[in-house]
Amino acid sequence: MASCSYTVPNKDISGDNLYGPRVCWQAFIDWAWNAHGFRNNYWDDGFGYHDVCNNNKPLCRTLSALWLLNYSADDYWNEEWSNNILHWGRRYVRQQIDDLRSKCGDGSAIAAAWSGFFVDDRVELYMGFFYNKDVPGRAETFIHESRHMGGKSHNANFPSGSVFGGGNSGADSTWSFNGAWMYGALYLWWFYADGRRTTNALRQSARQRANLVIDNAFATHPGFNIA
Amino acid sequence: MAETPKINDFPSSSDSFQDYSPTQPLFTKSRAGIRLENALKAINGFGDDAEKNFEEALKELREIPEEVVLELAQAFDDKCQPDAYPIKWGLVFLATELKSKAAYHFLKRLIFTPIPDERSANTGSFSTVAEETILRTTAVEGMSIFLNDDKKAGDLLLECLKLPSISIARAAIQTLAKAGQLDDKLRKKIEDLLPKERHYLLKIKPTKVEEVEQIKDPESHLKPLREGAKRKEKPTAPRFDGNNENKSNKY
Repeated sequence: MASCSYTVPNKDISGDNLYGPRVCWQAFIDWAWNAHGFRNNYWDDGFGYHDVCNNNKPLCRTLSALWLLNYSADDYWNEEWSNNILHWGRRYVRQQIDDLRSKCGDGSAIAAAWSGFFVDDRVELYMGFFYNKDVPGRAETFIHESRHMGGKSHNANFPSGSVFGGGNSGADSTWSFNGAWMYGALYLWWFYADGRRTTNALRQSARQRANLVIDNAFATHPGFNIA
Repeated sequence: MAETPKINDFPSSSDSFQDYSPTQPLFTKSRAGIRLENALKAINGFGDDAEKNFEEALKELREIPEEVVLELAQAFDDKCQPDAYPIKWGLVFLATELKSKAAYHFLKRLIFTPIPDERSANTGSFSTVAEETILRTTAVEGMSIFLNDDKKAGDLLLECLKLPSISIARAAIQTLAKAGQLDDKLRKKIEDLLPKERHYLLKIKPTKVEEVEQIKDPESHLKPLREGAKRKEKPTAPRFDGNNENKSNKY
């Protein structure tokens, strides 16, 4: 068992002062807790189980990302698979994640997903998820990791000059591969284009992040980006 | 007030989060510092007056742009933790929103400051180079306001093509294009500046999200079930009324 601490960055710009108070709603907390398989033994000991509304703590910051995922479409209750990912992304995430854990991590990854017939299916979230990403960025991580839970691994190397390390494995071959990078970028794109109950600054941040993924995470550039 | 989730399962067996410490104040108590503090508070505000409040905060910043940029640059350089990327991005965003010549040198300096070496061991999960790049693409796009009456800005964007980053080069090209400056002559110049393997950057088409390939049948991308098992649909999120949303702002 590890022990960790963290300096909390400014919460206005990360969106935690916008979304954090919204999650402080018992019906939402109880639903999110059950729907995503939070386990209290992974969310206590300072991670926020006993202080759910405290947006300095990992649990509240995680729930903020889930709030964004669930309520950013204008007609958020319409989560038909035939709609766009801004609508069904929330449904996809909750169907994919049955066991959600917080951990200190070793500083290398911000989240990880395990799935398969001989492993303990789970998603783990680490310090970087809680404190180095804004709320839309955390929502993107949920989408990305959920795609991995669907059994889709990366299948290519990052292109030359990629911010993720040209030549390293971990890229998706193309946009049409429908991998985790495409899922994340497409979600951010829709959030930028049509996200509601949010702000211009957070939508602009999502746009920048999505364009970065489009530029750098596909072995073959899709040939388009966000206008 | 919401409380602890109602589900209890097992006793703790995981890591412990000892403590968190708040960040130091970003700004001094100067006139510019106070106005920047107000702008940061308003940047992601919500409610009927949120947009108006942010616009008013911006208006106050624009009254003293030189002072603001000085204060903002000091916060960016000296007071942000190295990995506090959301706040760094917020400061860059504010600098671009100033829409003032006073921000030119701050943005230029950021764009051309070499990106520090990667500090993450797992870049696919989190990359400091990626986060640094996002700061710079935001700054590059912020240069657009200088393009119409300052030739230096156009030259500066062309200089971006010599940087190693794909995204910075792409942002520079698209900023020039958006300003209506990407004529045949400039296109040729860019081709000469870019290595051949990056000429594709000129062909990237800014697009609307509705026009790109979407995910067909996402349900089929759910995790496979064990043989004979039937997928159980989890309940959907509770619907909120205006009260849930408004209540939140009292927190």
